[in-house]
Amino acid sequence: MGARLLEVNNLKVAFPVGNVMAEAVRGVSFEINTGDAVGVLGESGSGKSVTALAILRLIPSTGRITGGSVKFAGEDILSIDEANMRRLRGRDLSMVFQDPLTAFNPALRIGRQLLNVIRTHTSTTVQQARTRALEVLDLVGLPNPARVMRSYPHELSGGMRQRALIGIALACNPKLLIADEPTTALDVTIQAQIVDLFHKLRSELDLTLLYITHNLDLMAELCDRAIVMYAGNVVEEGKVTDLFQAPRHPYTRMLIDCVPRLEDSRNRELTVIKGMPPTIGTTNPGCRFSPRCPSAVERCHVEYPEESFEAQRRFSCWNPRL
Amino acid sequence: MNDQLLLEVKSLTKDFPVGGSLLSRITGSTPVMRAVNDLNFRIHRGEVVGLVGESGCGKSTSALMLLRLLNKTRGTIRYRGQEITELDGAELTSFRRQVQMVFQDSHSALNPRKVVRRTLKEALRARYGKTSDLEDKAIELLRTTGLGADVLSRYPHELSGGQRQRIGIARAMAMEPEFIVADEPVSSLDVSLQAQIINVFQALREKRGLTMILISHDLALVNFLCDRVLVMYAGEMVESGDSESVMKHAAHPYTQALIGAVPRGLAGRGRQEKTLAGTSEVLGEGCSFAPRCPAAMQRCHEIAPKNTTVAEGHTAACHLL
Repeated sequence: MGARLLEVNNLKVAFPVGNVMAEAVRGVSFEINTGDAVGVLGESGSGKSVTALAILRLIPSTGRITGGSVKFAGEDILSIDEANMRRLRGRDLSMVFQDPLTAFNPALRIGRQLLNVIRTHTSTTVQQARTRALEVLDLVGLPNPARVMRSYPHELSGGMRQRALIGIALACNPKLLIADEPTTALDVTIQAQIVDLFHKLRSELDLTLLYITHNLDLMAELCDRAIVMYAGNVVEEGKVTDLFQAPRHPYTRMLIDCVPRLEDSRNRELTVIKGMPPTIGTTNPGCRFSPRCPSAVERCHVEYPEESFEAQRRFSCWNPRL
Repeated sequence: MNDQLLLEVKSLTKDFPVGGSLLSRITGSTPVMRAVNDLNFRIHRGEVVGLVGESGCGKSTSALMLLRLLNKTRGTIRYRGQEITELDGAELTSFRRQVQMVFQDSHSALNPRKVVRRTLKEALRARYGKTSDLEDKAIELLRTTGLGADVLSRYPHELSGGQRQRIGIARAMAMEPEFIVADEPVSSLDVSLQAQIINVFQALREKRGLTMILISHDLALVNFLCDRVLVMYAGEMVESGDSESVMKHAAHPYTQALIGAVPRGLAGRGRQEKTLAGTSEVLGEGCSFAPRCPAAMQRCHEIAPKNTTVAEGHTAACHLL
């Protein structure tokens, strides 16, 4: 196992709702070691993207980190100044966004955007930077890198754009790559290509990956460990194999059972999670999932469940599954 | 199952002009992009048919033509034996009532300035005329899609994506259609809400014997909901057959690749399946899938393959067969 790379401790992020600040991330803690691939699983509004943005200190200006700490390579990155943070971002800490079209500047050629990143973060000559740029575009499997360099983002297909974006994220050999739903906007066949690419990058570069997704099956193929988030809290964390085979939190179980799978028989009844996730600002002293939970007991509605720890696993539930 | 033929599509083709001047467009000499090429299929009453393929393969274009929301270039579309492009007057009104569509993006499919009550009552009035029990009928519709009367006075933006999608279905059901075309009805929803919508369709199909075309790129969903599946690639149908037969014994390399691309969860860990390289491109001669096909031979690049029967009711267009 690698050294501790990222340590998120009791992170809280709030956004204004009306005239009060409402917590979108409500005390999230987790750790990542070098070489790990960790999945963050959750529905929209679960706080998974906000958590990622908070690690990069990129949350929208209305929001605020209201508590907790984020340690990256031993350094508390919530307290370093903006200039140092900028040096970190894109070099040691890199991110791939969901929509590759909006992540690029549409008016600049791919090559220019790629060279900008490389030259900002490393002291290389233009020629060296160019060599590196061609190298990473080749690494992410883009045919004819020189032509891609000359292209504008709109001239590439969705899959190629996402590859180029991953190339930019990898250009400076990041210690941690955060990918936020990188395949959601893509076709299934292209999604499979990108997942293959992440597999390849993991084995070739020993990449440390934080992979945010709502697709359980995809995450299970790619990650070793997963964090399940619901309404701003981590409700369960464990090895992917454990989570799938024997989830302890009812929400994890229901997430697994609510999607149809290829091997399903026609008549399987899909598990329905009744109701909707709470909207931001909803207060509830108990477990946030309790209004939708079929196994909720009295206590679940009034008291937030303490975290229980087992071998390589933790979960927050008063009435866990056996 | 009832064997009554509801929809029959023959040689359906759609060309879109690309570039060219106005004059050349009028004279018909502009270069065209063939979005749908020679589509043939039949749908019987009570069948649920999945239409799958990557974006740009022509599945939505085909759906729009079936609803007469887009003009075809060539071919015939017969609904209950009648060519739909020849319908007018009362016949067209009746067709419009019997065939309904559920759109992918429920946000843009609903009028943002109308509360749910108005949206539903408008549809109900078109169906039943001005009667006094429209409110009750609206509530009944909401119930069939799993919603309560409390949403009647809400605007679309006050509803969640799942609720909005159910309003879209309720509105389509207001016409008591016998045929529904649903274009990616769950792909914009969160996983926990998808199951709710899938179950609504299951119930409608079982209780009302609804006939449906489900357009989706989610093969697992299609396998789950549909009796039959049509696979499209670059405007052409490359494989069709019973869902089970197609999913278990996919004959066309493209269908195999589509199935191979579905994430498998734990079962997919460490899987070394070759994913399909490249993206879909339109070309001239031969099989349109040949440039991406792992099994392509010389012949594939020269001659377009014909439909071959793989099993009963299961055909594929591939030279390998």
